[in-house]
Amino acid sequence: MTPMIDVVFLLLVFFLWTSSFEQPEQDLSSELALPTLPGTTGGLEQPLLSVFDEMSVRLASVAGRSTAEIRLNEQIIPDLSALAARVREIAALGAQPPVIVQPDPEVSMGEAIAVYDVIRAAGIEEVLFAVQEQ
Amino acid sequence: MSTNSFVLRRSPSKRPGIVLALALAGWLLFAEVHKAASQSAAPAEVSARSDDRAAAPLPGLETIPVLVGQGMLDQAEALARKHLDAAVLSSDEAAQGAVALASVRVTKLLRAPLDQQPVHLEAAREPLLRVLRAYPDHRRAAWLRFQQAAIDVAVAKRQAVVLTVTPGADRQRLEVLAVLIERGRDLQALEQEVAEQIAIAFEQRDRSAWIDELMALRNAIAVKRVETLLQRGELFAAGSDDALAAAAEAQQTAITAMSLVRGDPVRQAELVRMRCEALLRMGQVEQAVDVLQPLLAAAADSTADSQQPALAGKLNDPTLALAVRLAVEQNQIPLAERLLASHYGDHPTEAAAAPESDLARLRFLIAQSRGSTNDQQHQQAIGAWMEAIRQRGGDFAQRRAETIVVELLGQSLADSTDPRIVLAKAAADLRAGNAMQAAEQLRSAAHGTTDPIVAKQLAIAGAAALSRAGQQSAAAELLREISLAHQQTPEMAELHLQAAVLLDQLTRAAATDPAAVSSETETVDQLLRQTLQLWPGDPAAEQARSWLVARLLANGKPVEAAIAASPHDFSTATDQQWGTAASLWIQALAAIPLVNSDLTVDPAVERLALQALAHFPAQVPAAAAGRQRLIALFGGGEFIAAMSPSAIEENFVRWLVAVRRGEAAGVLPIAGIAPLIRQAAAARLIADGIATPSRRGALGAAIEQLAGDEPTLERAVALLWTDRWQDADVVLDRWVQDRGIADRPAATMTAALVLRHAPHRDAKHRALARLTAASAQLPLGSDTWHQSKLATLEVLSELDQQAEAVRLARYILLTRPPKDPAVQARYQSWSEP
Repeated sequence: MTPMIDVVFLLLVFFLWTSSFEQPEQDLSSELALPTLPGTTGGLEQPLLSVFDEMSVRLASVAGRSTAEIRLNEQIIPDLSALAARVREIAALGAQPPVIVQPDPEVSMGEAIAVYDVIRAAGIEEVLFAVQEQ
Repeated sequence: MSTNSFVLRRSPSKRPGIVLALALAGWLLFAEVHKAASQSAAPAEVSARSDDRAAAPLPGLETIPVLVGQGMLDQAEALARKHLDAAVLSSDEAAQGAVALASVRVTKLLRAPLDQQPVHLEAAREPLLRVLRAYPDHRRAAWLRFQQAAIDVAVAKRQAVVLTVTPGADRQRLEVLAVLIERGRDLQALEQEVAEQIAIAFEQRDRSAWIDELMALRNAIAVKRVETLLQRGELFAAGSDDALAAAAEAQQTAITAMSLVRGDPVRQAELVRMRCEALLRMGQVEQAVDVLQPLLAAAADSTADSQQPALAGKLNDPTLALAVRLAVEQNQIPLAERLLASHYGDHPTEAAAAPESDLARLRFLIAQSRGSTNDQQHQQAIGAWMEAIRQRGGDFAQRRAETIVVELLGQSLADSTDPRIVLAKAAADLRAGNAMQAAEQLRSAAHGTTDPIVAKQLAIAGAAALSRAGQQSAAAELLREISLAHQQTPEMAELHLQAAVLLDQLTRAAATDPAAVSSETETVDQLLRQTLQLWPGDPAAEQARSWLVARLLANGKPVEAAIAASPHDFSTATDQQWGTAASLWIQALAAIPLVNSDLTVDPAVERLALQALAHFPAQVPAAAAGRQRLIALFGGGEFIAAMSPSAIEENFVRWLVAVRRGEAAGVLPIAGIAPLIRQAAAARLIADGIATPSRRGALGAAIEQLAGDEPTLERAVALLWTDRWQDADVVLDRWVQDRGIADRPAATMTAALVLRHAPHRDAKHRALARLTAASAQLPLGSDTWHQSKLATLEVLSELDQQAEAVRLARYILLTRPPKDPAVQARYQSWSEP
């Protein structure tokens, strides 16, 4: 009969191999907002759209600045706190527009995630990352 | 010697040879060509005379000269060809036919434009070559070869005439000279050959008609040789060694030939004249007078001698011309005058055609003016005769006359005030390549004369010279100035219009500079308007009107085009002019949307309609139809109220007015109504329905008739107003799908804006969905997008969703605030509960 200690050891090895110590991936939305081709949408065959149009938050790299410039629908927002205040105001209207975060290639992933967090924290549920069409 | 007889006196002093040579210029070259082209008896200079022919003419062949004389060249050619084709090529009849056919064809050649000559020349040679190739030793080979040479000489003579009035062209001059030299040799060889045949015939003691025929041929060859030599001299500069040598050779050949043709008075006279001409060119005026004297004497008492048919009555044209020139050379002006009087009488312009004598009379008038103190009167006489020459002999004769005037008047031309002489000088300058010099003279003369017709001629010539000098703008300005200076003259309208044409050509040529083109285009339009204003009844004004309208339409100015087309003189305007004006006004008004996409009415159309109606006064009966159409399609309610449908003739207009007045209109008489009119009528009825919602049902039914089955907004509105919004929605769907991909977002919004006017909640929900879809497709934040959003707010409000409207307005102000303060203010007002 196999000693119990061997069994326990094998179980310990199994769990060690199958466990992960990273933050759960499902907390970060993995959806991507693909660019829309002109003329491919329209008509009433599409699902009923919201009267609240999508918003875009662009993170633009600007020469001389250490951090990215935040532009909400091309309006410049001074910093993350101002962005948070504006988004909270929008969310307070009861509107849940899709928000697309568009970081420039030079912008760090950390900054993009920070903006993402701020928008989510302000109450917007659908936050997407923009990708360029290949 | 009596001055009352036609006898030339010896000149007391010898005139320089150069003057004689100059006097000769331009005379001889045309002589034979004109003879060939104008004399009815001989089909061509090279035509065989009856005594040259091989035998008695076949039946019908003698009618060829008659046909040619009557200008029936094609018939004459067909007849000659028939004779040739019917004959055996080896026979005399074939030779006759070939000569006749060649004669007719060379006549056609001499009358054809210069650029067609090579074609005609080959055709003229063909019948002769056909016989000669088949039978090189044909019994009539000498006659055929003579005809061949004569054709070439005739063509060379015509080319030489052209070269006389065309400075430069040295290469062509050498080519013609080479032809004449070559043919001169051919003729000399042929003459020798015929002389040998005559000698053989005499040796054989052949006294038949054959010897007479050979001698007649030899005489013809001899005359042709002299003529060729004289022609050759024309190609050299007058007074040059070559010219003198050619004249001397011609003179000597003429003497020899005269000894041969003693029994032929007609040829004798021709040779005398040609010898005299040669002497004149050599500067031997006195000897020339002596040579010509017997001819003149014979003419003086010719009535007594009926054996000299060529001299009967009076001198023939070339001889008379020569006699006059000799008299002028000797300064015997009264004698020259009497010589001319023998042909021209008291009414020179009514005398029979005599091309050479016409030019000799011009020389006489110029010589007469030299000794006179009344220079202006003489210049007028010269100018008037130049005009007469043009009328009698055509443009080519005019060109020769101009050359003589320029040559003989010399420096005094610069002081000439007669416009025709100025024109002649300018024409010579133009041919010599001095376009600007010619233009300045003509411009100055055009401004200087008070005679509007003459001013017009001078201005046209001046403009042509300026154009050739590359000064189109100055040319147009000259035409404009002269036409305005004589604006009371109706003919000036055409001149003024021509100024616009020139300027337009300039604009097209300089199309690379848009700014310049725009400026010139405006100027052309102004000129055309001025033509219309100053000469309203002139045909040129109508041309100007048509052109102006076309230009304005092409430049996207339909209203200005309609104004230009509208008659100014109500009393003279035709029904067609009223009709055109009405159509253009309708076109201009229909181009402006009366009803906007959100079903609001644009007041600009009614304002423009008032402007249009001002051009169609109610008191002018001819304008009634146009006025009724305009009121029916674009007039406001007050005009419609004042109309009586029964007084309207046009069915469609009567129907439309009845509908607008709310009266029983019946079925639309749809046949023949243009889509533009139907569309304008539908828009007008929609505008009425917007203004008076209570009438929408009736108007919708009428609009449906106008709109037909096609998916149009008008049809959608008609369906909405007749309570069929679902059908309207289907039509709108089709209408959107019919648009291009790029236009579909805006079309979707337009469809929503139409649909929202339906009085049903479901329709408005549908409109809301369309607006939302349109917003998603339109560029975010664009003007159209904001328009769509504002419409969304209105529809939400109509659906009693005020809270949603407030939320949306606030959301837009927070996320995409508009830049336009007015739009922003509208959002602000919606954002307040």
